[in-house]
Amino acid sequence: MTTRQRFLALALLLVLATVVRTAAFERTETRAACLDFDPLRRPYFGDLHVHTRYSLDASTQGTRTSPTQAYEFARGVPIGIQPWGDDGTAQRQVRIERPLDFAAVTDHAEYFGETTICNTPGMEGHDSLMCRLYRGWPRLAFFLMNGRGPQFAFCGEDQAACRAADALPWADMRDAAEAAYDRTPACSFTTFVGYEWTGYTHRNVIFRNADVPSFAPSKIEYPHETDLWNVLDKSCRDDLPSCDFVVIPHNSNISKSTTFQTHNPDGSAFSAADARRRASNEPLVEIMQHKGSSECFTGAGTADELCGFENVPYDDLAARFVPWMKKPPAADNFTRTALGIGLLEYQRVGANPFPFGVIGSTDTHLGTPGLVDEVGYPGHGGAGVPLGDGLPDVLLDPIEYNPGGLAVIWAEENSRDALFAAMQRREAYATSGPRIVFRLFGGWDYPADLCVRADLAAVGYAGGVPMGGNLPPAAADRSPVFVAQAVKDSGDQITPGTPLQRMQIIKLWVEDGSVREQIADIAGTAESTASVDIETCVASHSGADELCALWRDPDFDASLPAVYYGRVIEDPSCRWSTRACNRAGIRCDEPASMRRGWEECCDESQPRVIQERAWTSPIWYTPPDPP
Amino acid sequence: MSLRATRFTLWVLMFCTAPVPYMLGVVETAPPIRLLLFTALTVAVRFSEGSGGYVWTIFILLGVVQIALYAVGLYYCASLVSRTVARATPLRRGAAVAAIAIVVVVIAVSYPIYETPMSSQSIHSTLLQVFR
Repeated sequence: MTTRQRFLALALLLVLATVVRTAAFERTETRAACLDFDPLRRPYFGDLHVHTRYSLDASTQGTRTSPTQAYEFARGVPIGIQPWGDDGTAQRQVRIERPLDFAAVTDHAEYFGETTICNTPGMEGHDSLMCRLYRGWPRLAFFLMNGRGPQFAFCGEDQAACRAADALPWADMRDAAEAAYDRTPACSFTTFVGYEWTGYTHRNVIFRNADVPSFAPSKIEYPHETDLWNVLDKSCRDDLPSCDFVVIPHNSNISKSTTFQTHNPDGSAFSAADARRRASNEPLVEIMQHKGSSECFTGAGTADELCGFENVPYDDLAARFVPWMKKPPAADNFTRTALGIGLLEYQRVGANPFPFGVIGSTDTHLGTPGLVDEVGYPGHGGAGVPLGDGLPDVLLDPIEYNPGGLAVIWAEENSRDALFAAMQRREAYATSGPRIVFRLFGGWDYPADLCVRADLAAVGYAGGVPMGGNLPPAAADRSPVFVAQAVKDSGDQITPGTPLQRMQIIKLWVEDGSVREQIADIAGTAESTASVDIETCVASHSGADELCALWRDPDFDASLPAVYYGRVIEDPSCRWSTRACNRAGIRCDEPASMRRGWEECCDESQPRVIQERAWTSPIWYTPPDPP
Repeated sequence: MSLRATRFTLWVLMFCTAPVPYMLGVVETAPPIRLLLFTALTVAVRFSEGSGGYVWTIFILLGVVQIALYAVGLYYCASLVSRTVARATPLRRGAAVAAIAIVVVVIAVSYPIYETPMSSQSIHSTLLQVFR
């Protein structure tokens, strides 16, 4: 690089820094300016899906963690979890080695009031038979209350007592989020007020700042997602000056094909306006969490062998409890298929309802955000193994579940406004747990030596768009070029980071009315010599600490809409279940070592090793002429 | 002990201790009396809370149907067993039934032979834990 080129690059950086600092995101709250501000953005790691004692399912499994404790846990403070001793002391302690940068407690809004009344002596209804059943036989009460609907006699006339009690956990969740939010210039930790709206389709609602509605609209009163958007539009965007929200669907993998529908509740197909509304309200989808990956499913619309990762082998959560309901999930439960459907819908109505980015999170029901380590994984509760006052000698989570993932957001600073703006523009990605740093830019004319240049990010922004963006109009006779860069997780004292095996670009496009798929290995190699001894979990690695590549689409057709996203895969490592089985002394070649409750350790159909990974949000190409 | 009393005692013993599979939200392997307890609780809460969702109706129907099936099936089993001691004197018959009952109850109380995922306290339960 000549002196002149260096000077130009520096000038470019300065201009970019000035522009980005002043215009990157709107500031809606009063707070100290962050000392740490990077116009080229940094990756912030967090968890946007956390349940505490206010969720009916968590509370009926013995979870006593409060939202305040959950946020403390996210910052590295150890907490006690069930089972509980007779004196109320926790029999297990958990902590994360590395604090998170942000978190949101997202308890189920359904039955806020009922759960509160049944847990609070002295409240009207606390001594009802229903509440006695809840306290005495919580698992039975979980099924009955969930199957009941909103009409409980113990809630009083017009359900007034329960609806009044709804306000208590909601207020505590808001207060806990405010208390844990670091408003000092250190900007060390950000919280978001949020909650989960739960039916067959599950969605988390994340609010931009402390300006939030006085209630959390639940599935009971607002049964369809359009009802949810309507009430949030009214109670948040219309009624409160700085309120805004994003809605993040999750567990599409077990949603019986209901998450990515393209019709309204009345059965009418999406219009362009419907598609745009969905796209603007739901800019992100949770692609990875405790109850499985939602990217894709080998054999369901794809032959991609790397789709066989943390798949739950049924399409309905109820099948977890009712074995004969188990059937393999259909392709349209998965985000990859939905991205393709979005392209088809664009061709049909001129608007894409599914231009979403992706995040991961845990969906912990123990109030333990960021507890994603495969080593010593204690289960996450929820629909898992119930624990009350005893720790059973069994695998502590259903074997098809996993420790969940993390949400990573590229933002200028660690503040609510900066992170929220990044969520809205989809500059976010998902990991299956490791803190892999992953960047993706798309443009038309990146220099060939970009991967070895120190100004990759500056050139990436200046010459194109980051993940979550739309490619600018096509240059004549050019194909889009993508630069993807991944750095392995540096690890912690318990778990060293695992090298990266390979990096891929997944392209979807529409041709002759159907969606096509291409998976390109762009860095690293599939011919890895890495291996894992599953009896000791000692791994031999051959991957890289960092992968970077430029990839130009060789089959680009400027007349066809397309979408591209990145995926980076680690070398193999032991799965949590393998570690737990080894720790329990189960050896499949020694039948005498087998104990009841550990049979799945030797189920040949279950994976022993995994290849952790990260997925970027996509970059879209839209032809200049609308359909 | 009369033959009828023998049959009835064995039937009660089986109903209260035999680990049988049933489905009520989750699949458990426990004595039918646990299912009877759950069903009775569901019916009681159903009446105290007024009419409700279809899940409650399904739970009650599932409970009643499975209880009825196991009651009939175990009665048939008790009849078969009681026939094997039909020729014994009433005293010996009574002693045999008592011995069987003691052995079964001791085993059921001492070992976690039941699968009880509906319990929040222990997935594998003894007879006493089944009712805790």
